[in-house]
Amino acid sequence: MKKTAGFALVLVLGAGLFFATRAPSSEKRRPGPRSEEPEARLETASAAVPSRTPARARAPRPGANANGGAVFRAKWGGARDELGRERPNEGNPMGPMSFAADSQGRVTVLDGVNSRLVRRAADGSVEGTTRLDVGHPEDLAVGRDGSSAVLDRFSDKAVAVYDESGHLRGKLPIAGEGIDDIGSVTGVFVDGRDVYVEREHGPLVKIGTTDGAPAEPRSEIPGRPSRDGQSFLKAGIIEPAAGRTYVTSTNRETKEHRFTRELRTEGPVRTLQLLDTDLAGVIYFAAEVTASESSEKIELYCLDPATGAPVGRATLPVNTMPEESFRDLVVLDQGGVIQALRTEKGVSYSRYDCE
Amino acid sequence: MRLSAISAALLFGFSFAAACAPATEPPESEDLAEDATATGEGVSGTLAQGTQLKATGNVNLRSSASGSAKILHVVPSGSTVTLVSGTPTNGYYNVKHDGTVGWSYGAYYEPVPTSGGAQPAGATLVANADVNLRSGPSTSYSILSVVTSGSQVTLVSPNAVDGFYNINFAGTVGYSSSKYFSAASGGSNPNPAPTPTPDPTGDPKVTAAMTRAQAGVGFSYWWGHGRFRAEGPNGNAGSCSGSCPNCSHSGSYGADCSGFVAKVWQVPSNNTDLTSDAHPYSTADFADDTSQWSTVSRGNAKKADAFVYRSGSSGHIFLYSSGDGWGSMYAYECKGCSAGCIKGYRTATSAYHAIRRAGY
Repeated sequence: MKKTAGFALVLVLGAGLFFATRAPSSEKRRPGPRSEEPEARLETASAAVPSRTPARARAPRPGANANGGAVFRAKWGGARDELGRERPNEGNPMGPMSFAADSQGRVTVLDGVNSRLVRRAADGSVEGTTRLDVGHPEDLAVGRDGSSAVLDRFSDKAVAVYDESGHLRGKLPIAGEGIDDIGSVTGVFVDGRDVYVEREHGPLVKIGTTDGAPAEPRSEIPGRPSRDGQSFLKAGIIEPAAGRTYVTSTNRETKEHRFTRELRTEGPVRTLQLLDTDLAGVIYFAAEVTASESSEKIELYCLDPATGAPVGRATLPVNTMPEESFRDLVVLDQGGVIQALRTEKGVSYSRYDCE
Repeated sequence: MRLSAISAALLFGFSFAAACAPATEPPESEDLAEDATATGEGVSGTLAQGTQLKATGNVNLRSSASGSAKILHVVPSGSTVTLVSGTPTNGYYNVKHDGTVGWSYGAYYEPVPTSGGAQPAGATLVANADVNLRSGPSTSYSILSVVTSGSQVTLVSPNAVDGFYNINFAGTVGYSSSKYFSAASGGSNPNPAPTPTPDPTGDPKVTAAMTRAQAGVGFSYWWGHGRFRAEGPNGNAGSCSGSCPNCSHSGSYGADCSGFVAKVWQVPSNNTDLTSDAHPYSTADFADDTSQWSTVSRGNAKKADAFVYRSGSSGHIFLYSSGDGWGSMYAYECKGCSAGCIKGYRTATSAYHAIRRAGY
């Protein structure tokens, strides 16, 4: 009996020791200060926010699904619990082009083929639908007040704003100051009450507010706003074949450059798939990587908000169906990512966490 | 009790092992800051607007032309920027990097060498900067003259020797560093109308094709057809409703995806009249290589190549123009009824493969 109890104690202590030595893994990964800080780096030192290593990035949240656990699935079709797909002969194939998650963990899917938004509760059940008033919806963003902003570059050439009940508040013209070519728009974003469109995955142009009023004048911000209100973020590919990418952060309050972090993926980069943060400010960055013609994956990285240093990662599957998409990865407020993955049967929305 | 204690301990241990399993190795990463000194020769003087420059080191992009101006971000070494204006201020050039416009110091850049490898003998090149014309293919040879920025020269030999072109500049034959030259627009135009938009780095055939593609923007999607006007829609866009092929079209102009590409590519070779309705090929044809087009690596796709997919009785094709900092593609395409024929950024999964028209 004593031996058994002792064994258990040793096991517990051992586990605790193991944890104690492994827990600050993200701290160990963060590079220490360099002895020779170039002048340009020193200029920006005062702009840095205190370095944080949120628990979210250290290990999966207790009770969270294992990576790839489905939040919900939908078959192709037009029924309430289905999502539309269209594969024309001699035309662009389309499925659900985008989706968004709100602060309560509800997921709203842009079901363009069926001209509607479909809102799913955190448990995956269908909560309701909103009929869309635009001809070619492509991207979606949701606001904290429950409003939805739907991008249509080519038919209505506007962003339609709906309230939480699904009533159209207004349509914000896309073209205008800051957007000469509506084809250059690469996404719609809501920050507070402001509605933005992104130009060439670079600056964001404010085109209106969530009450449906166009912006006058149309101001610009240098990148995507982080959800902790601290930063503007931008990313890009430096050399695709070498797997060289970067993420850059600007202090939102001072507009000072905070960091530009180069990240090297494990193979050539085809596209970038995600740049967003959770409420704690942890940066989520994902790239589609091709190891060979027949081998591709998505590398997801969680980055420290203050330095951009990697604090965790996960590997996700790649969408290989021909349907065009604007947004296949969405960050949750509390951390973690949901991925939309299309198959011949339907589409699944699965959760991934950095480890 | 004993069992539950052991079970709890085992479970506890297992949980920690799972939570604290050695994480996959983090990616190589580096916090970038402007390099202390420029490594290359740098660029100076007035350059042609639109010239592409490559960063030879990490370099700041600033809000104005001063070393004390706010840093917008760091342009990583190896990145390409485009000159917004060719005239420098205090050594800083107004450049665009991944959608952000700012000022960056010229000493950290070099011109992007002429794309496309060897140029044909007799080709016209344009100088992107003031560059020496030398008596031989290295900097050790004597300087015969200076080819001023924007000057046109004629290529005497198709291949560069040790990075030097053998050129004829205003009657003087000599050698100049190839990285300071781009292909000039001009030459024969297989499609006299519309007039191609000048593209200092483009092949004339490709430039003409992209001009035809631009002409198609704004027309309606017309399933099984291909017909538009060089001057653009101007009230002749037509309209489409419904879900094709069970859709209805009104008007006399428009195209579907394959009709559009066939018209832009002028395939077959007699498909040269934009206003003549023709739909010679479907995506089933474009998906397979022929003497008129063939597959190229997606990573090597260039302007006027097409991306095509075909699965069962479904298929789509679009024309590639350029890529952005995320690897998204700026495309010209006739998407479908609701969008019509458009230009804009899009993504394409690996279901698509790239094809190139013969001669492009």
